[in-house]
Amino acid sequence: MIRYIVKRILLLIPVILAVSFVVYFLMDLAPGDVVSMLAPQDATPEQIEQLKEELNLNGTLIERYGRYILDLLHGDLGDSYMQKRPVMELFAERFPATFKLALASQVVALLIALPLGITAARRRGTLIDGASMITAMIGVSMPSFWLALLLIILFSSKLGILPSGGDNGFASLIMPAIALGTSQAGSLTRITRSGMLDVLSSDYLRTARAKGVPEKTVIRKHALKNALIPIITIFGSNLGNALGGAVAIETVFSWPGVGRLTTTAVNQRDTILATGCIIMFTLFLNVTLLIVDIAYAFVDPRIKAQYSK
Amino acid sequence: MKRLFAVLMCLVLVFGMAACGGPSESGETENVVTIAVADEFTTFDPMETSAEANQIVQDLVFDMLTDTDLTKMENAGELLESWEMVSPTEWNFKLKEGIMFSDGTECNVDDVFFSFERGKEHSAASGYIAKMESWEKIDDYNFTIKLVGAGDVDFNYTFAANQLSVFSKEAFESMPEEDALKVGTGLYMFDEFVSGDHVTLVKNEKCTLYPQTNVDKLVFKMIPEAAARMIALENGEVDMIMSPDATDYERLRTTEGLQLLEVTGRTQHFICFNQKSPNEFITNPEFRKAVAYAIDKDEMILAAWDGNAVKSTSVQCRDVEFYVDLEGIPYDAAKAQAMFEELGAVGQTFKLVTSDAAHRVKIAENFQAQMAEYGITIECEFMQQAALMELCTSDGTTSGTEIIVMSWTPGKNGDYMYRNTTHSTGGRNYAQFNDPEIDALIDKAAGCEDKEERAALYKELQETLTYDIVGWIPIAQHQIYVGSNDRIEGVLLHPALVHSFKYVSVVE
Amino acid sequence: MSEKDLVLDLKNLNVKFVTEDATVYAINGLNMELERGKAIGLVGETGAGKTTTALSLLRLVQSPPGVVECDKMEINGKDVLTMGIKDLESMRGKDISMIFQDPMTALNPVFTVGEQIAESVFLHENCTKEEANQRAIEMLELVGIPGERAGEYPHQFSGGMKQRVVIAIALACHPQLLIADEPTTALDVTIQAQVLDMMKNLREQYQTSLIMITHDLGIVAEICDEVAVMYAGTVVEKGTLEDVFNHTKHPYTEGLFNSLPNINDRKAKLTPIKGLMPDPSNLPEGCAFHPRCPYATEACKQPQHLRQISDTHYVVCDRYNEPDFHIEREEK
Repeated sequence: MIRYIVKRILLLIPVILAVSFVVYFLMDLAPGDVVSMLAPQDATPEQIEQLKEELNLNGTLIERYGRYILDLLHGDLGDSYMQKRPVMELFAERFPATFKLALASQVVALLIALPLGITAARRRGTLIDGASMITAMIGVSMPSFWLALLLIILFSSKLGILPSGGDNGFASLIMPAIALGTSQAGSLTRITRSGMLDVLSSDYLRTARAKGVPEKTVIRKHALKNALIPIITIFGSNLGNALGGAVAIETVFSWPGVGRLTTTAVNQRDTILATGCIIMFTLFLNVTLLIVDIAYAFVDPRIKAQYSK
Repeated sequence: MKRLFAVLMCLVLVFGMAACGGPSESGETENVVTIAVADEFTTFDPMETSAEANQIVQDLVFDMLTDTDLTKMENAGELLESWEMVSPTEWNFKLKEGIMFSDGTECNVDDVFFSFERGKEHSAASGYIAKMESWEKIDDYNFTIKLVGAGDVDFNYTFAANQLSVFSKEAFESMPEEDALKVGTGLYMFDEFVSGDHVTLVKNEKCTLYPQTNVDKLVFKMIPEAAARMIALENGEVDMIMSPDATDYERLRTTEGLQLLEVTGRTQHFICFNQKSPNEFITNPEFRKAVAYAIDKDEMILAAWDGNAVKSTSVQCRDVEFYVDLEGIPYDAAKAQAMFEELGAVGQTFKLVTSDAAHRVKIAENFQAQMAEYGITIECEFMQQAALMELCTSDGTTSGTEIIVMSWTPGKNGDYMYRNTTHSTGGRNYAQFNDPEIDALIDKAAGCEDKEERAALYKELQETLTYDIVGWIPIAQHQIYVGSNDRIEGVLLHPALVHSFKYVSVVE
Repeated sequence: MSEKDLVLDLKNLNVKFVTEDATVYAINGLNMELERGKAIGLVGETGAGKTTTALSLLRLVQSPPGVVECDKMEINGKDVLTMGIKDLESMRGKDISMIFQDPMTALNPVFTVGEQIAESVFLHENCTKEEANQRAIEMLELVGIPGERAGEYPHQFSGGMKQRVVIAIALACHPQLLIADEPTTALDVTIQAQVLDMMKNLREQYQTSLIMITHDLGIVAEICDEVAVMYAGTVVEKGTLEDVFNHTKHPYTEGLFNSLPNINDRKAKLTPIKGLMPDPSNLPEGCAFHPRCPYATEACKQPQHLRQISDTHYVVCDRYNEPDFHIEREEK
């Protein structure tokens, strides 16, 4: 098991290098550059040259990328062009907000998806099944920022019981988590339902019933644990993606997360910041997926056996 | 059961973190004024940035030698008591006495020179510093400066640049840069900064330059979504909002307890032509004049800003010095049609490029619709601002641009209006001007000492550009709006968005 | 009628599955009685309704789409038909247990075998978790698996051992009635013998009554006291081993015996029963076997009646109304 984990961590290195390559080159190839965005309107040609020097933008693309990689291997993500501060510092400032929101929204998604999916599977083909799935689909179809605005209008403007934005304690987390979690709940519900359906027709459930196990326990203990594998997969990948920040939600709720940071960096052609953020996102995504894979081992002993080979 | 426990643990974790995040609200005995801004504040250092979002905050902590007096809309001394232009290349300056930094030291010429030296190292400020050949101290409050080349008759305007804020030399010598950057002569001091969320300033009790205010804390809260800003204002979460949505203007005007403040922005929106384009129509001044006759600017203003803009008749911004209220090329559809037919332009197709900002898209589409009535097809292409900038500042012969919708926000001095946009050496020469006569006019006006002569020169510049060359067709200057409640007063709006909160107080 | 100590008393069981396309008549008028301590073999081809019968006894038939109707169903003297869920759940695994056909899928892969046995014990016996775990280890030993393996997972066991675990689960609470649904079909012949041996011993030890569902007459001969032959959802002949094997009455039963290969006469031709099992959603009128029966007459298209041959032996074939009728295999 340890070897498996170590192997996965080592695999991260080529992944991150590949991601940094793609992002850096794409940013450079995109039309528009950071110098024209950053230089004051009345900048003289000399000022522009000095700016390029300051930003270490001299040399060919390969040379610049080479310098970047060298720094990267020392754990230095460089300094943002626009904000003149180390990328790592900027990311670390904004990441906790994104982490909170990601976790909270996934919990909301779970709280919606699990009961809905299990009910739909158990009452397959009935009205309740249809109603559960329609509810899930409505959640998916609603643009998250639209739902966000509705929530703000209702709870902030009309009722005045929740703050309209910003990251100030638990109360301000509620609406963003609901807005984001609801749109994530759709895929999770469908997976829960199909995972449960698969399991509900298993022979070992029949064995459990024949033993006299109460139906509730059959579902909650015997069935659910087996249905968890696909659920954990989707939960994990949703959580991993949420760690990249949710730009729409962050904008509407003025949530100081990494989503806005990354998007602004790309729009402003701040290559260093954008590449750095995307590298960090890749790292967190893969670590989340690794944790998910390890979680499998605790749910399904057959998988644990595989890892130990 | 284990699952439930795991879920509960997650919730506890989340709650715990959420409780840790964010600052606690201040006590009720403090007067806190909160301003909601749309763009992010990113740095304390005025020499690192030219973004208004940063300047609006830094302006409260630091001061410059001169600044625009927003009550009279003219350049006035801020740290300077007075100045004297001995010649365009030689200037004498006198600092006000008794101005204290927040570290307790007095602001004197050593601090000013230290700031100049620091400015050399920062590209945002170095351009200004480069205009000065040398500076010499006469005494603690007096100094003299020699300018390079032909000098600058408006040099006092240069000192109004936010990037030329004056720092405390003592602070930089005794503290790490991070802390020294918080020492200024302004009414406020930096207190707290949460990236992407807010920046807080507290009152500087030691300030001598401005009258003390009853505001204890000034918080700039970053709320990127206009609707969210409006709701925060209505809720009382903030006292003032920048850039409210146009759909909220009426609401702000009519709701009790709220008000809509406005000022005409010093941004010229225009349609310009790439004068180096291979397209023969585009390079023909007669064609450009025809287009100027062809557009109904009122309709365009209605489409782009719901009518909330002031129509422009001259290429120059109205509140830039030496503005002349020209009649401009009027809207004359019949004349335009006749000119197009004579030129053989009917049935032709032209390319228009601009950024994807809402108002520019509307201008472009309105232009397209209006030109269609004359049988002229306009193909619109929208791109990101960064891409647009690169395209329009590249070589006009190969860039492929023909018509561009753009804007320009100058300072108050005439040279700023034309230097980078109209001079052939300019860095934002979107219309690809390359006219030695125009160059000469711009240079002569910049160096002209006699006020009457200068006025005449700028008049000639405006008339030539507006009537004869028609490289730009000026459309309008849009109104800048700010929403506020009536709990606070004293905000001074700036036509280039660097609004001043120095005199803000809480109504008691 | 003598007071028999019946562990199972089943009268007129009818089970149909109602779907959008068609209604499947799985069980039609099935009767069964089993005395305590006896073993009955329920024989028939695949699709005869044997598993459905077993599930009906546990009231585990999925409904919808299943519809279960019955005149009388008593297990261990208790009326199963009107029982509430809670009573049913406490009865399952305690009074009556079932072993299913496919050991590979009968065990939950994410729990250890010990846990799965102990669960049954903990549910039905008033004991602590430790006591239940202890009993689980004992049961494993009983079925020939080392007790140390209680903490292992099903995927770590072979097919035969899995089936033993299943048996251990079924017998953990010493049920009065055990239903074994083709427990050895999925296993190798050698393992088959072992498992059957083990089941015989356990039966003797605990005096468990047994319904052995199988299509293999050899197994019936080995382990059962009585035989019930099922065709198309109903019992067509029932009697002791002696009755059915040596005094075969029903033409279908004869057909089953005839299709067995004879080890002594390897050159003889195999004689299968011609035709196929009827479609349960579209059963023939009268006797369901008559389309395939070599003895069929017009009378067979009428509903058939039960004919008691002796105390222990009955057959459902109205041709026996004719005094001279007999089948070839008779009186061997």
